[in-house]
Amino acid sequence: MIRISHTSVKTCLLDNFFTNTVMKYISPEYLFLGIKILGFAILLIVVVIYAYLYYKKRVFLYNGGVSKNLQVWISAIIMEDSFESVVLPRKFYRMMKNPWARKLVMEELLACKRNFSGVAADNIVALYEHLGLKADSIKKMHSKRSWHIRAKGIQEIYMMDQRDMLPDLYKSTNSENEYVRMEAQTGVINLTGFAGLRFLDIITYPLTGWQQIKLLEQLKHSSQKEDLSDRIPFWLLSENNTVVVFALKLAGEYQQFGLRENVINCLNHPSVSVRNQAFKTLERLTDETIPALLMAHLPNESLANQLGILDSLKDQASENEKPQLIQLLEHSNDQIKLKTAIIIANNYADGWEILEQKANEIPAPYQPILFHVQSVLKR
Amino acid sequence: MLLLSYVLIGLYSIGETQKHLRKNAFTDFRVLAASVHAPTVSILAPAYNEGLNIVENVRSLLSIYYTNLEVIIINDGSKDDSLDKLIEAYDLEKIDFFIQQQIDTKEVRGVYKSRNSIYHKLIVVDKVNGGKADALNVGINISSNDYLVCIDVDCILEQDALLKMIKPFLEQTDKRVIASGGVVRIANSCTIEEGRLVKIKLADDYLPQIQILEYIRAFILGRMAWTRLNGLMLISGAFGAFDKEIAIQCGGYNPNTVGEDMELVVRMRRLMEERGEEYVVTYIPDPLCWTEAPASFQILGRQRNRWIRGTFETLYFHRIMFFNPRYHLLGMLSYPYWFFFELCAPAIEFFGFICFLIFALLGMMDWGFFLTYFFFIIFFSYLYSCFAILMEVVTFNQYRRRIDILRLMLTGLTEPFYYHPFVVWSAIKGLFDLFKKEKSWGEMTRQGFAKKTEAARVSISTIPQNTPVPQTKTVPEIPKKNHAASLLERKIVPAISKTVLFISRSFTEYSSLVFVLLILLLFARILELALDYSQHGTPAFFWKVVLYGFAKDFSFFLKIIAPAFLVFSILFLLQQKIAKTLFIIGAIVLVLIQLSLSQYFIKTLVPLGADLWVYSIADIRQTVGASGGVPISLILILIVLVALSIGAFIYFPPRIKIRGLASFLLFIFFIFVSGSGIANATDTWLPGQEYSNNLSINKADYFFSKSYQYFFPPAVETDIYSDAYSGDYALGVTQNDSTVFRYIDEKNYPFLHSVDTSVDVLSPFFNHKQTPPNIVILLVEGLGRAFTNDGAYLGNFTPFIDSLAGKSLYWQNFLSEGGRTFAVLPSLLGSLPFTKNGFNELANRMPPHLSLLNVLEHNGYASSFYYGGESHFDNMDMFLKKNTIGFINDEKEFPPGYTKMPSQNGFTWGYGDKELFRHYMELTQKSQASGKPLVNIILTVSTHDPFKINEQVKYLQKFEDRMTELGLTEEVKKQRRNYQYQFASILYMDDAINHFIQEYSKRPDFANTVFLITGDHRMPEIPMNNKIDRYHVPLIIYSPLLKRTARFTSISTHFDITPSLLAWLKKSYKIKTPSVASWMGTGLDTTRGFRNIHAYPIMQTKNDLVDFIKGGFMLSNNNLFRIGPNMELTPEQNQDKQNELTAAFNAFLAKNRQIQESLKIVPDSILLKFRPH
Repeated sequence: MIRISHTSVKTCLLDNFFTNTVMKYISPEYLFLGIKILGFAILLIVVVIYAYLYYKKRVFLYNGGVSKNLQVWISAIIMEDSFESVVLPRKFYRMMKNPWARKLVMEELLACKRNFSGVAADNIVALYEHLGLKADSIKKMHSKRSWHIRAKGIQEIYMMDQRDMLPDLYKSTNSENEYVRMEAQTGVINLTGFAGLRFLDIITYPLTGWQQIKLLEQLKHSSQKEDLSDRIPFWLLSENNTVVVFALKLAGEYQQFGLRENVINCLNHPSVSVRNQAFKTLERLTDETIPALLMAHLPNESLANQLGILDSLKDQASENEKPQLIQLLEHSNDQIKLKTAIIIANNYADGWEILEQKANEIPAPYQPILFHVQSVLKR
Repeated sequence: MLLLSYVLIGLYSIGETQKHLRKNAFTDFRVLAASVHAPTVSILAPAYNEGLNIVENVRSLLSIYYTNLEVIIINDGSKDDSLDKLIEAYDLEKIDFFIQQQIDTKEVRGVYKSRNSIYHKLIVVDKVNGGKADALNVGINISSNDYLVCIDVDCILEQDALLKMIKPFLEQTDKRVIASGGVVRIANSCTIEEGRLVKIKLADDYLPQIQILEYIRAFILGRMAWTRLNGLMLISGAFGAFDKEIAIQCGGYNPNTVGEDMELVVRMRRLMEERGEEYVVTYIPDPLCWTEAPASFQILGRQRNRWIRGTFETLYFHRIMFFNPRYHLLGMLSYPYWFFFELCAPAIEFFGFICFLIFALLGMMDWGFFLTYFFFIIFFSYLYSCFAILMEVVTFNQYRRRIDILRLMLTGLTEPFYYHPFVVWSAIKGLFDLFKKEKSWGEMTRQGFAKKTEAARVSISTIPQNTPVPQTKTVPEIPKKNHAASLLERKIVPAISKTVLFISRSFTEYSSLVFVLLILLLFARILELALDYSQHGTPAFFWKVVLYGFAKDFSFFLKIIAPAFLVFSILFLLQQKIAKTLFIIGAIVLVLIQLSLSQYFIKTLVPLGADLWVYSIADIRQTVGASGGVPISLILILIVLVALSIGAFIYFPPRIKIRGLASFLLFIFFIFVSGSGIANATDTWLPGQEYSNNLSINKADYFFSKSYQYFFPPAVETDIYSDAYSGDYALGVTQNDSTVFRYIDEKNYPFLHSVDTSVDVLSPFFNHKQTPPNIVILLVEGLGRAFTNDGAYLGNFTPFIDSLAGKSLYWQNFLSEGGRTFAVLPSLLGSLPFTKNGFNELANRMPPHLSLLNVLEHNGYASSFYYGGESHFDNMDMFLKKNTIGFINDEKEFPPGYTKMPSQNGFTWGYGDKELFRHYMELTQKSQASGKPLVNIILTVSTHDPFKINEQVKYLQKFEDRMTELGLTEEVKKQRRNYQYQFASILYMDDAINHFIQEYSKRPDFANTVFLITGDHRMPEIPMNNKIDRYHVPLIIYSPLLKRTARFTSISTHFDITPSLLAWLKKSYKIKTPSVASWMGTGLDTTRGFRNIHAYPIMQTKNDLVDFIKGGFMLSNNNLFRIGPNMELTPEQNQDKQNELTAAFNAFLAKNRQIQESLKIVPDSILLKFRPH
């Protein structure tokens, strides 16, 4: 009886696999076929490269030609007192039949709209509507093809002040695609100012740092200021931590002193980033109670937040915090020591003496800290 | 696996790049720059001996538009005036600055800030030199902001580079962004003004150019794909951003490695993995940072040396992660990828190269496999490069000019042969340096970060370490040794140096010239293909022909470069100018020869080999003249080519100077190529069809190698150890062979054998008459089965011959014994061996022999030969006279009233077939009256190049009509029209034979006449399918004496005709035939089914005896093929059969050589018996 071990069967199978499959495909015949396929692919790529370059050049030349006329016409339109008096050349309408030209006109109008205001901006919007570009934007906005088309459509809509599209924009402020919702959020702020912030009530997705900066910058340009004191407390209770952070920034940026208590409540928020922003906001909404409050929270915070608290106290420490600050000079972390030394030197009449005495007692590291503080505060 | 990973990387990068571009389309980065809410950023820029440009570089950094920014310049103990320049330019003052030693560093000598508030963002740190990592750690300690951006101070940043780099940190949500990398682009040849990039231009020099391609590949494809996977392990030290908190927590940069940039990223990632925190390393594909790439091999070598050491050290430090699932993707994919594909790849490549060298030198290399595999890899890598270029064009398109893209692609072609080997070598040196780390570790920690640092170190390390002078002074040595040393110093070393210098100089000159030669050879190939296309249209397997053609040209080039260099350097030693001039003349002559041979091939469709040396001058003159001579157009082309060649030799060499390492590598390559025989690898590359095979070969190579073999034939010794010799194969006879001769006296008469009377196979087909029949043998020039009779694969263009075949004994798979006319008379009439260059070439030395002619003459036949041309051609007249032919009627014998074929340039082959037959009829009318039976040989000529026939217009029209009759498609017709003159001459010949038979049938002797019609060989001027196609002709035996017709598909050859005819006549008419003879043939096979019972050699040209058939197989140039029923050949891998055929062929060759030397075929006693009466 012949016994065949499993190992030898496996080896045999592997050998067969190696001979029949692997060796077959690395035989010269297959490799040559591979060379042919690769050669063809190389040729194809070269052709595509040059076809694309040719296409780009054509687009460039076409755009150059169109732009030349377009800029003249748009300049003329902008200079008019009202859009009613504008007479567009027929060539313009003919040109608009070309999708490339439409795209280009759209880009030009967006660029102009960014740079103009008043009647000129109104004329641009009127031209946008007159040329039927709004329909294009709406189509893009509702496109199911790709997120970037939808985002682009939203951008065009709000840049061209199409307020009637606000409901659509609101719907997109909590879109699952971050770029679509970012554009929609920017759009509603652009069109309605502070009132547009009501999307903060409903958004479930995080508001990135980038988006927060964008919104804050956008709000700066809004002429329609609105009282947010009733909305911010609501947002400060949001389950979405990024909404809380943003609300804290709003409270600080727009100096909502009335909301100090709400902000103080955030010092106990479980999120480190929320607490960090709360310290910063309180620095702007400070009163005599805040330094003590901050100092009370300091021991329990992360190093980054401790440093943040000390930064906040730089100009506002009172006598009440002095003992604790002097104690902090002994902290094991040099950064804490340095920042504490700056607070002491900056806020207390005998601050320099405290530091000099410390430097005399323990030259390292207090002497260099003293020199550094002297250098920073230009003593 | 490797290739698959590249494919995946390529494909994976597409999506990520697309997403990034779309994202950027509606992002206004300016928002970030001005916002007070933007994160705080510290730029850390270490500087070492950057005094030349430090002020401008810092100005460039200070001009970055970002509110929350500080710029920290760390002067890492520069030995130049960097610090002084900064102090002066920016009005710096030393300040007291408490540095929090979050990371241990070397001593800081001072911190400086500007008195001028404009420069309030600037901090300059002066510290003791400690290397780049240490300098950056000092920067981290000093920095007061949340994010670190570490850059090389000499980098040029785009205006929005910082904004783009910082944005990902602001986009983090559930995952912490710990680091962000940016693309580094190469700024060589770009215009930079006041620290700003003004104009982007592709680098002019080779090295930066190839690095541009390398960077595009790495940054646009590689890193983008890894980013998508969140597996990025490297952020370039030239430009990267980091979360300061994490960077400090993991201990900052590691000063104990030269790859501190990669090490930091890996350590940060490892920390996050060990903490179990979600994190991301992002990457921005936009071109953000521009830097100058090494433009010399020395600096590049050091850079790559450092990179591989850095990679090794990083992977070594973090080896715990290797395939460790705890580290997820980092441990299971990123780390192993870096280990296998980045760290081990150079070592594996180098090991592979060493193995390759060893195998090649030991002759263990399968070149076919090697080259296909090699080119497969080359093609793949080039495809990857092209794809990277495509991605660059479609995305950022930094190099706008189309010519730049072309240059980039062309540069990419050289990468595997020039740049990549150097990079691998540098990496190997780097790995080697690692093994010496015990000695150099301390030094290595002080590796600088800027090119200038490295350059300085190079200059130190290049001081000779073993200068003998101090030794001779300090170490007393015994006089003998001293003498030896001084002889070494005085004579040997200078002589070696001088020789090396001379070789180097001459090779530099030679290499520039030789590249022009290569260009010219490739140009000649293009010209050949173009001319061939214009004459014959697209050949079969066109792309293979092109690819193999260029490969074979390159092989030919490789074959000649080494010996040519030997000659060149000897001449160079005499005088440089002479060497160059003679090289140029030689090269031009070579190219002209190449083109002339190409022209010959295009005309004849067969490459010219050593047969040139076998034909007499008169024969050559006649052949060349009749084929149209040398056309004016060709002369003009040759003149233009000469002018172009001279121009190329003047223009290019000064611009192609290969020096230094490249020159050395090239020299080694040439030496290796000539020593290893690698250049012969392409010899076996055949596109697949005979004509295409021949088109692909390098004609000059073929001609020279055949000529060499002709003049210096290899000594043939029987290898008694070979498989072909041993066992049953000895003498090429196997026990199963049914037709084996009984040789009588092999020592003296190698082919002499007894004649078996039972071999008569024709009697059963013929009615018997009292008087022996007349025999008319019609040898039709070029009559190939390819276009004759039904089943012809080119279509039947001989309707009459086909109709005649139906009334005859017809062998459809018959073979000629030669590829040209020279072989037909001795093979068919004498069944004779070929000797060296064909039996007729023995001329006056032709030994006496038996033949159909002299045996029949002995039996009372009258013999004569009819030919429209000059019978002295191929010594036909001498052969016939040797056979005591009664009458030779050739061109000279034609009386007035006959029209010759149209001449070309004054040359004509003579009288066309119709005139030949007319003349024959006239002459034989008289001779038949003599009562003697006739044996007449007619050789036609109309179907010979240049195919000029009388009534050409008529037959061209007939050709068109015939194509329509055959129902050929328009496409096929178009192909056939490339050979319309050939086909027209065939139709003319068919008509002539038709008329001839018609006229003959009116004569009384027709009833007792046997006609044999066959081709002397297949016309090669219409492309052939395979090797056997050239010999594939029909044999038709037509006679009113036939009892019945028959069609045979078995194989027989011209060798079989005489034995069979004589056997038949002996049996039926009792003529006397020899009982022993030296017939090569065993007789016609009248089996109807397909088979081959014969074992015969076949001679292609007067110098090519390389074909042999036996059984169902053909051996051609040592390649074995199976013969199919329609005479198609399929390659056969049957070593047993190959041995059998090789042995049989060798046995024949040995006997053939014996005949050639002894000139004895048949004993005189037998010859005397069969003397003609």
